[in-house]
Amino acid sequence: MTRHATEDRLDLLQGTLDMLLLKALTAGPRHGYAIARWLEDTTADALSVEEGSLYPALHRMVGRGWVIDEWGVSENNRRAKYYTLTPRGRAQLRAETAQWGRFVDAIGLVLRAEPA
Amino acid sequence: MNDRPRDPYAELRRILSRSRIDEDVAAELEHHFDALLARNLERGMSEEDARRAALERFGDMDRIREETGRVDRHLGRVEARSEHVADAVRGVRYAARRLLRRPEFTLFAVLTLTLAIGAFSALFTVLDRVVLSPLPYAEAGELVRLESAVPSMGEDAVWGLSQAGYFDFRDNGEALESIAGYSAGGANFVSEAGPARVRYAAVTATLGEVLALRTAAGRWFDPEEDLPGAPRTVVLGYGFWRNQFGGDPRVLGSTIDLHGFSYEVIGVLERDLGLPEGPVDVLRTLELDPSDAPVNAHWLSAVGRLVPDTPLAAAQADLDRLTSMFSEKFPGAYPSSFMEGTGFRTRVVPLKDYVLGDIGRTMWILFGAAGLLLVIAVANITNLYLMRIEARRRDFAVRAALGAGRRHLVWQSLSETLVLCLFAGALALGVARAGIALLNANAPAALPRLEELGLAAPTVWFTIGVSLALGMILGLVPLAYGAFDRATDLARESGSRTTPSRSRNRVRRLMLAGQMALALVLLAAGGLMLRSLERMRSTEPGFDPSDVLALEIFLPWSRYGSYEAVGAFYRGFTSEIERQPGVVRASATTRLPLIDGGPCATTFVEDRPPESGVEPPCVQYALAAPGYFEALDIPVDGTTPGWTEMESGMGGVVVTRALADRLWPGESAMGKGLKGNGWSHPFYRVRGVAEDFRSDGLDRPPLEAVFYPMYPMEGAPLWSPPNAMRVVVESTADPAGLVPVVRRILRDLDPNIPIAEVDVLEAAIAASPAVSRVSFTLLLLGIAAAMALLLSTIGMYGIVAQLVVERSREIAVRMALGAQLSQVIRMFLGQSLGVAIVGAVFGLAGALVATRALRALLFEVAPGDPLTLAAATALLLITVAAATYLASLKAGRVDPIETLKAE
Repeated sequence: MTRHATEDRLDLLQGTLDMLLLKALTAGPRHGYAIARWLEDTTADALSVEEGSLYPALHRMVGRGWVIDEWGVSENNRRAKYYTLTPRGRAQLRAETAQWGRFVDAIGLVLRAEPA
Repeated sequence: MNDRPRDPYAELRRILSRSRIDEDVAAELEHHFDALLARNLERGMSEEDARRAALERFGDMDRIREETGRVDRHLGRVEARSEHVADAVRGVRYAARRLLRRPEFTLFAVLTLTLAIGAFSALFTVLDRVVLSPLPYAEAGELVRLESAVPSMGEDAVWGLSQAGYFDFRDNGEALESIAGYSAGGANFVSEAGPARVRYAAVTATLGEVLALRTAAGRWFDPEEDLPGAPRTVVLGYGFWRNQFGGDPRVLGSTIDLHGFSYEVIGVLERDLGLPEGPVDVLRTLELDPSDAPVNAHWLSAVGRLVPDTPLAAAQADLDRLTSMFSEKFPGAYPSSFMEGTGFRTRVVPLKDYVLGDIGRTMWILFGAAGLLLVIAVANITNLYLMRIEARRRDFAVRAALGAGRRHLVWQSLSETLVLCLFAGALALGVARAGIALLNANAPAALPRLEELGLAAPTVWFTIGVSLALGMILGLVPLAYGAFDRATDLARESGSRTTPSRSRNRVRRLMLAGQMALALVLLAAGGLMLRSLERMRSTEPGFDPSDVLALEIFLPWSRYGSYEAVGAFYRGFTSEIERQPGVVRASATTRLPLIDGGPCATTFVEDRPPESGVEPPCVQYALAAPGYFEALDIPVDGTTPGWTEMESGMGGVVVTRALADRLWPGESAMGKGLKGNGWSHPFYRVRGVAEDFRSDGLDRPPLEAVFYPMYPMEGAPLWSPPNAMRVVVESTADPAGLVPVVRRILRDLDPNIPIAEVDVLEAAIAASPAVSRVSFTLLLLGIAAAMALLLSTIGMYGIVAQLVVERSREIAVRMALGAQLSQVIRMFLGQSLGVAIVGAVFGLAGALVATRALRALLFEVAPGDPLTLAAATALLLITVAAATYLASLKAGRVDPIETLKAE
């Protein structure tokens, strides 16, 4: 990782992290590292999640019942904790996605508007 | 929440969780770090660069670990808290499920507990309302009844107050804040709906103050309305107002027709308020005149309110002082010869005691019986429960070894018994309700305030409390019993598995013996009551109440003011009834035996002038129409006067054999003279002597009374025309079927006269307080005894059945060695009878003590009656033997080979 790459990254808006993590789990159970990687790969490294936020967020989501955690064995034969989306988590994702859509639309309206 | 029973390790894990969480987070982060490192290496970084880049990317590893760990710990706390609630819910659900897995035990336990708790709660309700707070008045503790005791007339001869006494106490009583008099009875009320008999009382206006009476509408009497010659006004009882006038307030100011006079309605009493003796429909004022000449007539019921904080003894002393001055104050009415001859004194009785009579004692006895029953039920269930625990001992031990804490096992046991008891408690409320209804339907008329009795808050709380307490006791018993001890004990025990630990067996037997003992106490009590009732039944009342219809008629004084008018009515009425088919005889009397009490009058005997210094006896009397003794099949020696004889005032009377023997011992009473109003000629002549019959109660001596004719003799006045009489109709078949005919005849004679208390005499007697008190107590004690016997029997059956299972190996060995089934059965019989005999010995000792409390209720049976005790013991032993025999038949199903192989 170079500094240059870091400067290009976008900071995550408050509250969107959960949504992205939930989305990352829709394809199936993943461990923490895989979630982080998927986010970076999908956004071509434009979005990145810090480990310092990732794990507390994941553990909070376990507490809320959105995901369940289970120890398993990773691709490289290491013990890893896997997170799986629960039906409640799926419902939460739907709700947050809808809300995000409305938010983006509203911001767009404001930015496209002719200043009076 | 998943549905598995809680993981026994959960507790331990929580304790360890702090370090575990840290470990967990560390492992997870480690994996992430390793993955980053691997990726960097993949990209061609040097080992060192790769590590540095990964570290840099991670930032402060400790901070991440700390933060993530904090999230987990916080979640853990939340989980622990919600877990407590969830635990309770789950506990109840598992407990219910465990109970349902053993339907026989659960059904039996629920049934037993429901009945026992229900009975206990029902009696608690009655005790609470009837015995502990029987009076609906404010500050009821200050209320007393004032009555005159006349020891010479009999141990419990009690009169009311005289008018002179009432005024004297009112004006001079220092202990009394207020005093009121009343005279209660029935009255004819005529409305558009027809005539009706109502409960009526004439009272002094001060009654409102004494009893703190409040009105629901209108007002109470003013003092002026209680003065002689005041306008006629009435206050209605609440129930009467609701039923007769639909609770219409417009009734105030209107007039009602009462015994031929019209009265203005000025008020309605508040609900539940009435006379101490019970509800009343119509109240009017007595209008006593203080200037009346003092008369020795004690017809006034009196209640007083003591000056607050006055001890009863002080009030009694105050009234003793006033009563001792009667001879000086009222020499005419209370000559000193009367005071000394009769032992006359005024007695102060707490109003509560007066209202309750001896019913309070009965209720305590029944409450005690219900308590014993509850103890038996609990012992029984505990025993069965212990047996189940015995069977699951291995299971408990294994779980204890696996780390399931004692606490957890105790909680499991507690949750089961609490669910069981609370469920039974809820059902018991229904039983209590039914029980209260049963008490209501069968209670002697003397039970006060039962009418208002329902399932109120105190009963519900009491039931919940009892259920909770029972649940705790039952649930903790296994703990005391050592059922949750660890596996080491089990290991020790498995060597001697043929019989479960001897000490535990002994506990079970002791409990069983205790149950037997308590059951025997109840059986003995029930038996004694049964014997009493049987003795009472076999006591010949001396008259034949079968096929007799009895009804009460009251002729208003306004239209029936003379002996002639009253006599003519009853002659016409009874002779018209006698003309009907199916009627053998119709007559009338002022006093029906076993139902009515009666007045007594100082009675003078010819040839015995009162100057001799001995106060003449107060002899009970009644008036009777011709044919009375014949209608009740009471044999009469001599003759009974007929209508013509009565109407001509010939003055022939009938006395009972008991009175004849007292007044003229060793002589024939025939032709002797007596009278109730002064010693002067002419005297009434004894024309007949009626054979003895009982009137004050089957348990009382035969009646001593004079039966005067319907008309007085010239120069020897009677008291007053017999406006109120009981008409008796002897029929050939169904007396109840005559009611419509009798009503029609009455309507034709006088449409404004109601029939009150029409009943078949036999039924009326069965319902009379003298009889119903015994049958009521018997009914309840009988139920308690039967339930106790049933429970003990089931307990014994269960124990033996379990023993057969536990000792199947021993049985198998014995049978393999050639023992017969009968020998095995005999062995069990011997053991259980041994237990039963131990129980019986204690039970007999207990019964001898406990049944003494019944003494007052017993009739011609001593509390320790050997026959009853023997019968109760025999019944218990036989039932136990039968239960044991049935249960031990199971041993026949033991297959020696299979059983021994299984070991």
